[in-house]
Order: sequence, then C-alpha cells, then structure tokens
Amino acid sequence: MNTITPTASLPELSFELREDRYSRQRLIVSWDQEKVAQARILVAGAGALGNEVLKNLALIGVGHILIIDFDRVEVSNLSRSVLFREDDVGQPKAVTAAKALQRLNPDICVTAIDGDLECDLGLGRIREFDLALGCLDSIHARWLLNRACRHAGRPWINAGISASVGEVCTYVPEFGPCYECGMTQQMWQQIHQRRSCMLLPRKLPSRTIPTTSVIASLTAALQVNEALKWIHGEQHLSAGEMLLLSLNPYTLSSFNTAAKLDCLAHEIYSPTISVDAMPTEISVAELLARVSDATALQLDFDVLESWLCPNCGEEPVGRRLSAELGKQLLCLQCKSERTPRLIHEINSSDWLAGQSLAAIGVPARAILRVLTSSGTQYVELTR
Amino acid sequence: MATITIKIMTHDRSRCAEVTLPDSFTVGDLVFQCQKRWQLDHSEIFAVRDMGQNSRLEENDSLSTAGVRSGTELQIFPLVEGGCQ
Repeated sequence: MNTITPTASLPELSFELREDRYSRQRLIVSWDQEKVAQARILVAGAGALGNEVLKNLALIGVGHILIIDFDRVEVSNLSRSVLFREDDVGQPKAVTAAKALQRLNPDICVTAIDGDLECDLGLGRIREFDLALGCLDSIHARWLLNRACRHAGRPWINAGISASVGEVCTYVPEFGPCYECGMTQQMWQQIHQRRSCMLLPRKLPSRTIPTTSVIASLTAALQVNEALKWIHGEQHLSAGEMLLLSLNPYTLSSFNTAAKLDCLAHEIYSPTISVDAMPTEISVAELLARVSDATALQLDFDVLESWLCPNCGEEPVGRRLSAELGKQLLCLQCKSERTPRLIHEINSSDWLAGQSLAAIGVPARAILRVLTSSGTQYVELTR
Repeated sequence: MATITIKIMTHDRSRCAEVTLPDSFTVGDLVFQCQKRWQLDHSEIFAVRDMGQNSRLEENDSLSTAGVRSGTELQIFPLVEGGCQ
C-alpha cells in the first residue's frame, strides 16, 4: 500500500466566519453579497407574487427596491400575502409592503409608488434599475411593463400563476423575443376590450383567478432565483425562454419562443438628450425648442384633445385619455352624443403646445420621442 | 390535401389524443379545437409547444409552416395571468 507523506507542514488555515445577517448565504461559493447589496430592482405589483418576491429580495439583502402598485389591501389578499396584516386592509399595497420590508431588513432601501405603470412611472425611472420583476395580474399590465422596459433598455422577468401552474420568463431588451412577440389574438382582444368603440378607456372588473400561497411562493422563488443569476452575472434563462412549473403532476420544463421582427415594442429610446426639468416646469413648446429641428412631440399615449358635440361645438380638454376614465359620452349641456378627438402628436403651433407636460399626463423622469426633420430624438426629463 | 398524424396532450397530461389533421390547419385552430372538445377553461389562454423541438408554436402558423410533421408530439399549456390580486 502506498502512503503519502506530507513534504511540508501545511500553514494553519483560519476560517473566520463573519456572523451577521448574511453569513450563511456568503458560504455559497458563487455568492457575492456586495453585488446583492448594490443591486437595484423594480417590482411591479405587490399582490400574491409580489409579496413573496419582495420578502425574498429583502431577506437576501437586495440593496435598492422600488415597488409600484395602485391597489389597496383587501381581506381576500391576506391568505397569500406574507407582508400584509388585517390592520392593513384599505391601505395602499405598495406603501404597506415597503414598510413591512423595512421592518424585515433595515439595511436595505425601499421606496414605493402608490400609482400605476401607465401614468406614474417614467422610463428614466426604470432606467435607474438593473432589472424589473413583473408580479402583475393582467395581460394589459404585462404589456405595459414589457413596452416600458424594452423602451428603457432594461431586462425584466415576468411571472404568472394560476391554481397549479406557475410561469417565469426573462426578456432582454437588446435581443430575443419580448412579451408582446408571444401575445395571442385572445390576449390582444383582452387589451382591446379595455377601450370602448369610441376608444375611451373602460374600467373592467379584474378577473378573479383561483390561486394559493403555495404556487405564489414557488413561482416567486424561481423568479427571484432568476434575478439572482442576473445580479451575479451567471447563466440565466435565455431571452424569451419560459419556465413552466406544474404542481399536478409535478413538472418543471422550459421552452423557447420566437421573436417577431416587426414587433412594435422593440424600440430602445436611446441615446437621449437630457432636459433638466420636471413635467410641471416645462411646456410642450418649450421642450420642442430645446431640440434642434424639432417638428412634433410624439407621445406613447393618447391625449383627449377635445369633445366634439354636434350642437354645442368643441369643448377643449387636453388631458391624458386614461385620466378620463368613466367620462360621459353625452354632452353635459344638451345631452347629445359627443365624439372624443384623440391625438398623440403635438406640434408647436397646436394649442396643446402651451400646456405643461404634466397637464397632458407626462410623468416625472419620462423619456419622450421628439420628431425632427432628420429623424427621432429621445428627450429625458431628469426630474 | 396533405394530412399529418400528431399526438397532442394537455400540460397536466389529463387529456391526450392522436389525431390526423390537414397540415394547413393552424396552431390557433388546434388550440380552439382542444379547448372545445376537451372543455378546457375558456377564460384561460392557451398556447402550444413542440415537445421535441422544445419551442412554442406561433398561433397563426399552419402546422406545416410550424414544422409539425407526422409523429410530432405537441403539448397545450395555459398562459397564466394571475399574480397581483
């Protein structure tokens, strides 16, 4: 039998274990707590999935988290929402979740927007984050987040759940398919149902989806794991690759989706010209004056320019269409049916050019498309 | 008219069939027929993937354009939308 005799004595190794909040995860060979602490993650939706995602992000010490949700806590959320208590019913989900996270981990910085993706989140704000996690409950909201992330040039990870199925999919701005590439006709129909035949937004009751905390926590864990791979620069799901988790029977599979070359979401709003202003401080005309050879401001949303009544004439409005939710199609004076006049392009001679950007519905930190005689320029409001 | 014989199943394997179809049949038609014949939840949205190629099929493509041949195994799965409520 051969025996191995050490030729030199080994130096005494020192295994000094720093016992702090993160000492166990630091033991993972590929783990870098500094990278985790520096990570900036936007979480859209603070419901069943969002609660689980946020809890995990806070526990592992993700340094900067922004939560956006317009909803309020309801009693029916309590069976699936680890961050909410009975006392929170009626409170804004985003703010309540942010407070709970701060209690869970005081090391991290959590901010909340009690608002919606469509009107309250400028693309410049999205660009401050490394990636976004979609924990939403409608196709329309996912479509909005997909467009916003794609235009802002940021990756996002979508997740969805039903009673026994969970899905996770990563989308990368520079290449591969996006969420919109994989939308079916039925999904488009659902989005179009949100508009009346006169193109006015309709408030539809959100579909109540049967689900439990079990599928929410499993799916959220996969979503956060995918985010951790991004943070650590490790191999993650390829762009558009969908992870499908089923509880009955237990299966976990992944498959690819093809990109559509003519997809309208595939436009990155970059490079940008910076304008140091808040939307309340600058009018459309002033913005156009800051860009050489500007011909028009082209918005990503419709503005209700005016109502046209056959008897009373034109009533100017000049507000974002989605802000006009539930407004009557009947003229307030003569009760005749009136027609909305919608625009999404404003040039410097339009009456709307005198309005502030905030008045027509542009959020803070927006990135705007300005048409010029030589092409499109992107203008970012820095505040 | 060319026909192909394929195997299609639901993601939870609760339903499975071997069917012969014209290859001009679209993926969307196939989803519609599965939803109807198998009484799948009409409020859910379904898509189809090729189990061998490990790729999702585009609903407007015909089976032949989508590369589906006789003997191909397809799976119909839901595109789930819950998460925030």
